Amino acid sequence: MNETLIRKRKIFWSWQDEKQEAWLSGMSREGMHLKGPDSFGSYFFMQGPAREYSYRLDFNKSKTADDYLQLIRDAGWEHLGSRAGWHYWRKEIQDNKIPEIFTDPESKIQKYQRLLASFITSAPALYIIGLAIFKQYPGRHPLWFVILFISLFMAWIVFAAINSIMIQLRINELKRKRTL
Amino acid sequence: MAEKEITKYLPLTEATYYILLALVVPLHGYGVMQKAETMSDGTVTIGPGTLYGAFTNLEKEGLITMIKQEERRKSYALTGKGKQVLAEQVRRLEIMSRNGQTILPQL
Repeated sequence: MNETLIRKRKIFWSWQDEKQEAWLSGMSREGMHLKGPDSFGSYFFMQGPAREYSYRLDFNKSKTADDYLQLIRDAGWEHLGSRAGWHYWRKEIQDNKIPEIFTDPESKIQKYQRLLASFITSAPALYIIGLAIFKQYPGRHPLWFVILFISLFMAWIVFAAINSIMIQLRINELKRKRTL
Repeated sequence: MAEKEITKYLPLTEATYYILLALVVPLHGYGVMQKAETMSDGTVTIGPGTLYGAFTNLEKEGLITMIKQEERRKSYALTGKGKQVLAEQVRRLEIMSRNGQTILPQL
């Protein structure tokens, strides 16, 4: 039995959760099974026989609650770990029936709304933290530091805005599916 | 309770409808999933993520209440308000079904 862990790097945007799930399923079909997410942009895999797995990602920062994990495990899902609010779940595909964690558009919309909220609240949170750092050491900042800090903050705003727009587009797409 | 308080939740989604039906007796999550699948002759499958979200929303709206917690499993049951919402939904579904049945032979 080969127990070596293989680390792979692959970066996905936050709205590409379904693309990420498909990639993980594809890896399992080649005998590379996700052991768990590692730091940003990397994954641990374990080699084994090829299998048909359904991978599903859920987003919730507060959902580390025991009852959440228990309920999904009771339904036969394996919790592979979590990273930055994303929970990685896996279940074997049997009789060509692809298992789902979310079975209606409403609950998928809510998942993306939680994700959207985390990006929207991140900017003011970062601003408050930044301001607190400045106040801690008044008048001791060289100009280059101030410029660097503001640039990083602006870069984050742009990043959060791109993510928010793309997530909102996913939500709109799901809303169209909701009603005939 | 005011009529509006009840009707604002209607129509229930298929999943929510079966969750409320199942909770006429106290049940934990996995029990609800199995019962919904059986009752609906397999036409409705409720995923665990969908169910967890539904529990959270329905509890917040006061349609269900947690009645016990065994280890990590929470059991829920319908509240009075939940029963009223469900009864009104069933009444509407009966009307819909009756209308459908009269039209069906003409299709």
